[in-house]
This record gives sequence, structure tokens and C-alpha cells, in this order.
Amino acid sequence: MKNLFQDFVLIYGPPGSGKTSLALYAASQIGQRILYIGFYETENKVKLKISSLGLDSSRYIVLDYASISDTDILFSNVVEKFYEYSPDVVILDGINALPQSREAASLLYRVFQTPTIAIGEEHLGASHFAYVADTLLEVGQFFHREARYRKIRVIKTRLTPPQGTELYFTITNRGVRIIERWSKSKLGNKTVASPSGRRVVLSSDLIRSLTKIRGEIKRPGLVAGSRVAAFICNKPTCLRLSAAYLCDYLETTKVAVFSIYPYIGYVAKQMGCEVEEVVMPASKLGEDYVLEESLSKVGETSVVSVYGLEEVYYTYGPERVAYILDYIHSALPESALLATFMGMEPVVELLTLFNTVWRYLPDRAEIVQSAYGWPVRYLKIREEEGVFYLS
Amino acid sequence: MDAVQLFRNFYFSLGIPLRAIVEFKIRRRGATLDDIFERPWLLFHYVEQDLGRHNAELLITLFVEYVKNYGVSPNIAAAALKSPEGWKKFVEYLENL
Repeated sequence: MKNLFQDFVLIYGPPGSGKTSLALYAASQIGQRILYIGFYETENKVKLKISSLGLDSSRYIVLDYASISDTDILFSNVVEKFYEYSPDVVILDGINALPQSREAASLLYRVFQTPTIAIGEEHLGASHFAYVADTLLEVGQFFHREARYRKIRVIKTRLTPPQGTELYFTITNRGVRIIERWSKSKLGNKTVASPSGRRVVLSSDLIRSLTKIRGEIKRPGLVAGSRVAAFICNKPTCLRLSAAYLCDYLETTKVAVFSIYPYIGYVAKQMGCEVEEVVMPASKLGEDYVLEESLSKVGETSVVSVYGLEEVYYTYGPERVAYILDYIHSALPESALLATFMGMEPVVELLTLFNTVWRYLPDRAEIVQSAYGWPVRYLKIREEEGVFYLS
Repeated sequence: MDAVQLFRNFYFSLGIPLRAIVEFKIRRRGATLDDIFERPWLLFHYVEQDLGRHNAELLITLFVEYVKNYGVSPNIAAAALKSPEGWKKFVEYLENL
């Protein structure tokens, strides 16, 4: 967030796209004393917005100016207030209310020598203020298959990230968060979890071959920042194998379990372990608050396992699946993410979202894609007295 | 020059949105525009209480700019809207112009 908001930043975009919330939150990350000068919203509304973002409103001096036609006088009063309060950060919300001249833009840039976040309407992208700004951010929101997406596009910057970058962001009662796009290159070397191997047993030949390829790996497990997908059949054997894996991981590490609909908990119980499922119904996943609430329930964790993602895929499309996984990984970047799709085949558009992709069938497990270069493509599955043997 | 008339002219020179919000706040207090025209310092007082000091100061700046065209000094004009004494001095100042 700090990378985006330095010096003079102009945010513009349509109403309701989250410009003010973004600015209020970004300012809180930059300085202690924040002067908010607004020309649209009343002081009460702004303070309410500050509180709803989980921020301390006592850090904000809110001046809500009445609309006047003499913009030069308004401008001079704004400059006076800046000197009077000498804040760490300034937010100018509704810069369209100020004179739209080269002189005004230049003066503002030279006088406001603290980080300044100016907010304007969508057409400001070609204004004098846009020319002087160090960073130009276009903010927008769009709906796709009834899911909301908020986006920042970096139009101009003298800093990082580079121009043209597009980032999703979210506004919740815990603030504003930039949702970083995950990439396969984020795969680290540190194993964050290994299954106990009580319910799912890999043949010793297989483990030897794997160790030979990747010397640093003593036992197959999940790596920090990695993503693994399991496309499982909807036959009881596949469900039990999936639950058996989860139970084995739960014996060695903390796993946050998110389900689109509750099922894994019941199957895990059959496999002899207790799972605390946090249910995130697909019907509510068009908005971010369910995700945020679910994350707040689990806290810090090294593994996140999500079940029933096929519902999200069918309801909202692959973009939403990617968004949800990115959302979780942005909140918990060091965690490994395990995603399970039941009753669907691996599709190309989802493969890029994962390092490793498995497919479970009643009699075999198929490695569709692997970051480690598993030495085999198919593993035979044999179930004996509640233990699965993969060879 | 009639100070009250000058103040009335200034008030009606303000944009309708600003006047609308000011009048709404005045009426909510049970006062009227006539009260403001009789005691102009009440405008600053009411606006400061209802819309914040920054908006009251903005009105002062607008008034200072307006009466500048009539040769009134900024200090006298600014004080005129802040207290009965300031207004009295403003009236005398105008009479001597």
C-alpha cells in the first residue's frame, strides 16, 4: 500500500468505486495526523466511514466544505488550513470543486509538501492535476456474474509497481487490502506441513524416487506460498481419501478448513478426526465480507484447505475462483493453499492457479501437473481398513 | 453606504446551494433570515456551530472579497461578521467612507 501512496497521488473513478475508503486507509498507513478536506460528504459521514474501516477517527481532522461557486476563494481557504494544521498526510476529496487550472494544480503540488491524496471524478484523468501528480490511480468496480470486483489501475507512477499494473482491492471492516495476484514463482523451499502418513501411506519406492529428484524434500508435504488442487470424483472412496489426507495434515499442523457447503467435516469424522469447518456459502461469495469474516475466524495458519470450489466455479466462473484464492493468499501469504473441486474434471483455465494438480479417481490418483516433477503420473489406490495405500 | 443593504446584497450574491444549507440550519434553530439581517454576526456564529469553523471562515473570506470592491479594509470586514462590536465598527467605517 505504501508503495502506491507517496508524494502527490491522484485517485479518480466513478462514484461508489471505493476512492474515499482507499484514500482514508492509505493515509492511515503513511502518517499519524491526517487532514481530510472534503467537498461532498459531511463530517459525520466521513467519520462513520473511518470507523467502519476499523481506523481511529481521532487521527483525522475532517473539514467538510460547503459547495461554493467561487473556487479561488475555496482554494485559498484550503491552503490556509493546510498551513494551520500542518498534517503528516492530506486527503483532498472532491478536487473537482477546486479551480481546474494549471496554476492551481501547480500551486497545490508545490505547497502541499507532505504526502497528498487527491480524489476526483472519472474525467480527471486528463486534468492539470493528473499532469502534476506523481502517481495516477484509476479506481473502478465492475460486476461479473453477480460478483463484485474493485480494481486499481496504475496509470502513472514514478515509483513501483510499474505503470499499467492492475490490482484488485477490497474494503472491509478490517480496512482496505490490496489483493495481490499469486504466481507460481512464489513457491518457496520451506515445507510448512507434512501429513502424518497414518491414513494415507505412500509407498517407500515412491518417496525414494521423489527424494532423489528433490534432495531437500525428505517427505512429501506442502510448501510455503504454494497451491495444490485436488479434483476429486464424487464417489465415497475419493471423498474418504480427501478427508484422510486432511486428517493426516491435522495431526501435524494447524489447518484452516473452509467449505463452500459442509461435507468434509462429516467424512473426516468417519476417518477418525474432528474438523472445524468454516462454511462460506457460494451464494454469498459474490461479495468479500464472507471471506473476510471467515479469515478472521481462523487467524494465523500455515495451511488453508478449501472444499467445494466447484460451486464457485459454476456460479461465478474461474475468475472468482482465482479471486478467492488470491484473497486468501494475500491475507496469509506464507500459508500453503489446498483447493478441492468435487465431481469436476481439471480444466485448463484453472491449472494456472496451482503449482500441483491432482485428480482422484476411485482406483487411482493422477498427477495432472506438478511443480516438483513427481516421478510418476499415476498412483494406484488401495484402501484397507481405513488406510489408503498409494503406490 | 447602508451597511445592512450591503450585507443583504452580499448574502444574495452567494450561490443558491450555500444559501439553502445556511437557511436550513438557521430555520432549524428557530431563527429567520430577518434575524440574520438585523444581527449579521449571527451568520458567522450559526455557521460555525452548525457547519464548522472552516465554513464560517470561508464565509468571512467571501464577505471580505465582496466588500473589497467598496473599498472596505479586510480587517474591518472580517471583524464585522464576528461580533456586535465588529459590526458597529463596520457601520461607522462605511458611514465615513
